[in-house]
Amino acid sequence: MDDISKLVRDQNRVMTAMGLIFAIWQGSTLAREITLSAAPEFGDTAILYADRVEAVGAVLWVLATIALLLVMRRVKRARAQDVMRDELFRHNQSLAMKVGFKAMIALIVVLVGFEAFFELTSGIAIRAMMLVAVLAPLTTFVILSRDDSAVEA
Amino acid sequence: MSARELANRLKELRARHNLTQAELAARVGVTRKTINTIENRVFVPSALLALKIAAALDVTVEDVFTLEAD
Repeated sequence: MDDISKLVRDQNRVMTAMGLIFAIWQGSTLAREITLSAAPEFGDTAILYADRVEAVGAVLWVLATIALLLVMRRVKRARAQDVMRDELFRHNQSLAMKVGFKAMIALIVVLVGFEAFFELTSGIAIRAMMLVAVLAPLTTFVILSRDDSAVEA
Repeated sequence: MSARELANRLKELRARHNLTQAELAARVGVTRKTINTIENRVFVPSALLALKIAAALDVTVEDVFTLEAD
């Protein structure tokens, strides 16, 4: 595997980790909001667990950000920014943004429909939108950028 | 344009020049995956990239890329 492919692979791994950590971190907050709204009798337990997961998530998020910065430094040292941000990268980035936009529209439709039957707090709506806004484009981009093609001579 | 409409002889021309995908990618200034997706007709390159690929292989763009006949 050539150096550029290794850098792309490492960058994708860090981005995947960031996506998972973000999902756990913010997902726990969303779960707490939903529990408080739908089953307040479990509120204390929900707050206890969500606070712990949030704290761990925040620490992991900082570590993942440091890991991303380290990969970025390697990219800069290798003077590989232009090569890594080539045509295919921009194409995948554009597709990921489109998917993110469509996912946000779909979520808004779901939330509006949901609101007709259940009480929906602004906290739930904001957390859900935050999760989708970050995870939909990030996941799409990581999947599109995954280099699982066989190296051909 | 769909990637399926654009046929290419990239693999054959690469082999003729004894170039791997990574080596051609380095010559053109893109990642190996970009060359791989073009070769496998997943991604349609811009005119600029097509010209760079042709120049790297020392042929014309028409030698590398052709429109797929219906």
